[in-house]
Amino acid sequence: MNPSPAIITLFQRAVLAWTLCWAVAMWLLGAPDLVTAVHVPPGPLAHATHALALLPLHMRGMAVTGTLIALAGLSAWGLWRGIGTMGAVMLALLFHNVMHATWTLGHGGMHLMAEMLILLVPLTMQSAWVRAVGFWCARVQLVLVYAVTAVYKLLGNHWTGGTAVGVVAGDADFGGAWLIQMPGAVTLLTWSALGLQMAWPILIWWPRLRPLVLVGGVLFHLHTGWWIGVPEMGLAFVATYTIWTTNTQAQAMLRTLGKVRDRLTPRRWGTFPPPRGRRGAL
Amino acid sequence: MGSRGRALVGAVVSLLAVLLAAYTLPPAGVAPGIRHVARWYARPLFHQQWRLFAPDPPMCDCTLQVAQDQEWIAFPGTAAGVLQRRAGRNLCRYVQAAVQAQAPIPGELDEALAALGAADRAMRLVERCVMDPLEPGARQEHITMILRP
Repeated sequence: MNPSPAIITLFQRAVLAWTLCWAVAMWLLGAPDLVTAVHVPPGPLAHATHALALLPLHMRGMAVTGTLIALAGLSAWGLWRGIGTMGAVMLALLFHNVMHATWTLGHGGMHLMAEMLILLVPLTMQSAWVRAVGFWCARVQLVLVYAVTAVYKLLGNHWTGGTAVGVVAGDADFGGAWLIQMPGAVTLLTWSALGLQMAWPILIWWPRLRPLVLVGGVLFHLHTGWWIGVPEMGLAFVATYTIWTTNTQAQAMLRTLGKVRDRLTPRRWGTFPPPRGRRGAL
Repeated sequence: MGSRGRALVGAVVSLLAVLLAAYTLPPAGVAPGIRHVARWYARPLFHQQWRLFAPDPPMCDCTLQVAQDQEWIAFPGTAAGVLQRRAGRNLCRYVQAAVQAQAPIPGELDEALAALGAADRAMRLVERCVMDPLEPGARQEHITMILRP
């Protein structure tokens, strides 16, 4: 029930690394130029999550640029020194604001990361039970993603009928038209994707089967992300999978990442300062 | 953490999971009262939907075209950047949904199209629709003029 510090540290780093890369890419690719009118939902929280959308339109592009830079800086700082509760709150709010201001670029990966950044907040707190709530909520969030999409797909005709991947492949938006010449492969891929999404929320609870489920999911998300032209969506899922690793796996990954970081660090910089407090337990 | 702490964590996580499930699962399977509470909890910070290609993938692909020099050209066009093309693709799906629902183009959507460079230009939606799912390559073209606000 108590989350391992190694898993929490690995999850934090994966989420922060994704956020850093995403913010830099969005800035360099010109996301601030695509800021437009936004529907602001009712309620007091909208002032925090849609603050950018409440600015006058001519100021929003510059504000989004500043927010993306702040997001990248905060994520980089968090990767370097560890992130505290206030930092996690800021990160979640900045991310929500950019996501809403650039709603025309939205995809499931951004929504997933928006939830995970909020759940990062309890994971930075001192209270053991608050950290446990954040940890299990993050795990259950991933389970829900697959369970919900599987339920919807079972309610349709083309996933159970084995034709869904063919319909997507024939869509000019996604490519892969060569696939529709092979109806057997279309059926196999359709049922495999549906099978994975139905099995994931069940099999992930068995530690022995978990590595297989995670590797299958990584391959699935990297491939579909590339196929539909949203690679960062696939990478968002891969980053959040770290919450489902075991303590041993997380420690091994952190050791490997530490070695890579030491090799990449110029000697004249010395070693990185150790993370502060218990949030950087490893 | 003691047994009471574990029970508390289990209860809180279960409650939040039920609320998120009630928010994201098909409405037909959720009691309206529970869905109302779930919406109140999830909408501000945990808004999400997991219906990519579900319950069925879109049967029609989607392209927007704008008028230029008495011709129709693709919008935002192949010369646009990666994010512009992605925004154009997403906006096209919103336009398609409005057309299918026989609803007017919402103001925010029209402003987003204008921000991409389609301000004050005639626009049409070009769809190529699957007629038989067993032959997804054989598609029929439909063209719909877009009436903008």
